[in-house]
Amino acid sequence: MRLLKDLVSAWSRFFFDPVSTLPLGIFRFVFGLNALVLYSLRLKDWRFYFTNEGFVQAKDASTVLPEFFRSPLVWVPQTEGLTLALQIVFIVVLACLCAGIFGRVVAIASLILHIVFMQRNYGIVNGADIVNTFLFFSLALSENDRNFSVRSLLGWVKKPMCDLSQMLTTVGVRFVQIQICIIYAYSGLDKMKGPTWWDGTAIWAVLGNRQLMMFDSTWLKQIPLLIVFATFSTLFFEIYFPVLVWGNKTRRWILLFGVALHTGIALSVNLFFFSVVMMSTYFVFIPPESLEEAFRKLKVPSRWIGAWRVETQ
Amino acid sequence: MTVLKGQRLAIKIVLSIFIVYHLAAVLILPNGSSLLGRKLARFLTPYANTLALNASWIFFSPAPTPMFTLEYEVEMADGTELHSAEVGADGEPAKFQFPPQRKDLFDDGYSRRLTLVRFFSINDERVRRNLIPYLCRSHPGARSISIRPVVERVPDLETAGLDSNSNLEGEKEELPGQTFYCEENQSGSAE
Repeated sequence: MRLLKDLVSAWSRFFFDPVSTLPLGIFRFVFGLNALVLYSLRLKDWRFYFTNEGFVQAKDASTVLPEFFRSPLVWVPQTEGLTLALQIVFIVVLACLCAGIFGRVVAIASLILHIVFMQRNYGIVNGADIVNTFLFFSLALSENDRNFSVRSLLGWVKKPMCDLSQMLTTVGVRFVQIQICIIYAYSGLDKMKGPTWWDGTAIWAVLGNRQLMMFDSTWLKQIPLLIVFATFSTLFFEIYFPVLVWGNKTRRWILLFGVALHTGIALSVNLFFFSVVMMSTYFVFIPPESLEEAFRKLKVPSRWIGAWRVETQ
Repeated sequence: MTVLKGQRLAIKIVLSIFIVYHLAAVLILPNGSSLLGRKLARFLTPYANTLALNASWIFFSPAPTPMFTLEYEVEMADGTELHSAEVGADGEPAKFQFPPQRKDLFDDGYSRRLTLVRFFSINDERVRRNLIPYLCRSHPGARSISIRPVVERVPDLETAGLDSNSNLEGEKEELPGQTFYCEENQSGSAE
């Protein structure tokens, strides 16, 4: 009985106690900016991706996916004009999300529009798009514009959150944290099925892939031990991230390793936006005191940071 | 709005049910082929698929994928073969391929096209309904399109490391090709 009470109490503290919204605000800003640039670039080929001139006709959009992944609710724009208009609306909404204007509402709008375009042509959906979906969802739950936002800059954040909003915000933050752990754990454990990950040479298959690499890195075959180290450390990072990120003494190091890994990927492999979106989630793990101190040293205006201490009723 | 303690407890209970359901979806569905996934999919997939939260996290696993290109030939209505404007290394017209060669160092469009061609090439239905009609529209007047997936594997590290002076050439494998007719509003397979 006592164990049950302790578990319920821990569950309540973890999911419902107030959390500082500063890490969330910074995550929202970086994530929103990354999404804004990514989907603005996608706009360049909008006809090819999202109209009947491209691969997928609007009438076929709902049947492209295997049944296991098909949504019971599918709606895609049928005309070019509406397609372009919705994409422009999506870009505007992402700009608002990045800037922190009407945080929850624009996050919900972003999620809906993002899903519409994923359904329109699932063939172009990549890792960054999939991760973005989960993060739009988490932001849609939370009051994400209290810090590092136009709202905080203009001094519009005055009142504490109401109970429901506060609890949903905490849930949103926890969903980001848990989802990143799930992604790394599944990715790392799935790699264990591959013989090249076991023998330490899997990274070589990436380095030698001209389609993935932005420049020739095959000279690294002269340093095989470096490739072995990169392969095993990637495995270690992904498999143990879900555990080490929660420890006060290990969090800093595992996050720093993640930054190094994803920065390396961003600079060499054609996966820039995926790398940035993964790193953007790291902010929700960083204690707000550390962030506030860093911003103070960088002389970021306090109005931009906003009130960051945990509010209690 | 500050709610009463009883209401706060009710909110917590409702949210807890939602949290458990959501976490079940995002934890179980990435391994949807498991026993748990098969048993619970019908309860979880409507929610997860509606919100596009049904995803498997297989980044470079179980192994990084080899290079993949789709080469194709275009036969025109008069029986002649259409040639690409690009010239290959041997001085002959290069084969048509999708995606076209990457032009910039950083090209988001190229990586999306790579994803696209892999996604559509692995499924016969998608090849017939989407890929071939697109290629036919891209080459007006074409009578048929013959496609051939080409996979190039990076040689293993020990083999590549032994010969330090050569350019890295992968092991190319041409998968079985197919020819499709570009009929108006539909395409049928010739073989």
